[in-house]
Amino acid sequence: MLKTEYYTEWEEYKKQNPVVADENLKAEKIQNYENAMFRFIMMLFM
Amino acid sequence: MSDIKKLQEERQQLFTDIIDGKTPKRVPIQCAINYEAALEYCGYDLKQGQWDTTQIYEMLDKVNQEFQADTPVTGANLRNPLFYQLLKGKSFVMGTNGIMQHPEIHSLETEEYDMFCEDPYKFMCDELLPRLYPSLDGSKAQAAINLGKSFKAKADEDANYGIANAKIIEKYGLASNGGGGFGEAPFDFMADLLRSFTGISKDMRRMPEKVKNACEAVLPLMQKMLITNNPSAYQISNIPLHMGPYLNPKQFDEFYWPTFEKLVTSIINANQGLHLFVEQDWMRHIDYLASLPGRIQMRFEFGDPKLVKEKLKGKHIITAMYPIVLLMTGTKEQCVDKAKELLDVLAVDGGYIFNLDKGLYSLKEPVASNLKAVLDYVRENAYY
Repeated sequence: MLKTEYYTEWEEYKKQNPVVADENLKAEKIQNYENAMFRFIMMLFM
Repeated sequence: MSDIKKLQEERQQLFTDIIDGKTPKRVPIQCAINYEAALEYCGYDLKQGQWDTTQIYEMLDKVNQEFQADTPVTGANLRNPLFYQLLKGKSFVMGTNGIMQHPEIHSLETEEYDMFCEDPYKFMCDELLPRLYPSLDGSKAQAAINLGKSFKAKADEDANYGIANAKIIEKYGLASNGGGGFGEAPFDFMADLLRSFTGISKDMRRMPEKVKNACEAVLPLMQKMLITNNPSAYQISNIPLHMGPYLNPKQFDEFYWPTFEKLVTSIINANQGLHLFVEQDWMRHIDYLASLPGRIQMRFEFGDPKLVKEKLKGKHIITAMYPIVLLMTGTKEQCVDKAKELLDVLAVDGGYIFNLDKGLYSLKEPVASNLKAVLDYVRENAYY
């Protein structure tokens, strides 16, 4: 399991941002951007 | 159902059968024409063409029409110069011939191993990115703006390719044998842009425990890159293997294998399909590869085809081993004979996908004519 200060799983994101409700659409969108930036930065090291 | 849709389903079934361990109707064919080779073949200037992507569809259309494989023959430009330029990247720079080159550089210093291991991703973002990409070495605002620009540029260029490639797949009824993540063996990841080939070679001798700790620390990053949100055995993640052939058996066993084996095992346990590009000659490590779990596609560059078949048959899927150098030096007859020879050894009882031993950087004659002859031969004759 990846644990880092600079990557946030949806469950953790909800705790930090209680204003977002537990809706799958929001989870998918926010997590997709989190993952896209993670992959981009990792790609810069490969 | 249209003829082209039927053809696409038949082609996809070849890969499905191979993955399922069944003998397919015919040996599936893949072909690796690098973006640069496709550009040049289609008459575009290599330097200009990598920046001006308006010609992507015409380029992909021509190469996929003339070089017929079961999957698209040309992938996206992995080293698109646009975002490297925006970041002022030191890691990949365009050579005078228009090919993106990887200079031998490093970003992590030896005294930083322990800090790196505490949170590798954070350390990479905070400390190492600005060293490799000086556009990120300004104020926080400047860095954020430049990172945003480069991320957008990469996303736009990937989308340009993706849209064009999707049209090509439908036009020619091509199959898919990919779609998963991309990553590296932990040791290779440390050896590439973090410590460099020469740096890691010294570190193995001078600070072995730090190297091992670092490989363990980056393992979760690689798992995150390679295991997709909805894994499937038919969605293939890809790992190119780099450093194995340059390590002696003791070093390989001590530094490379432990975290690589953990990585592969976690991918297979997640039911994610996996493709390893076994670069250079791995024959002295072939028993290690044979011991990996699951049914992995292993694309070999060099080595002994008979030994590879003997060790992997019935378990893993073998691909490639066709030497591209022969396309440049051989006659058409010699090139076709080599394909026959490889099929006789590797395709027996299934478990083989035809491919070149590495991507082509040029299709200058006689390469193009020889390649067409080889692909035509395999497509018309490699039936079970």
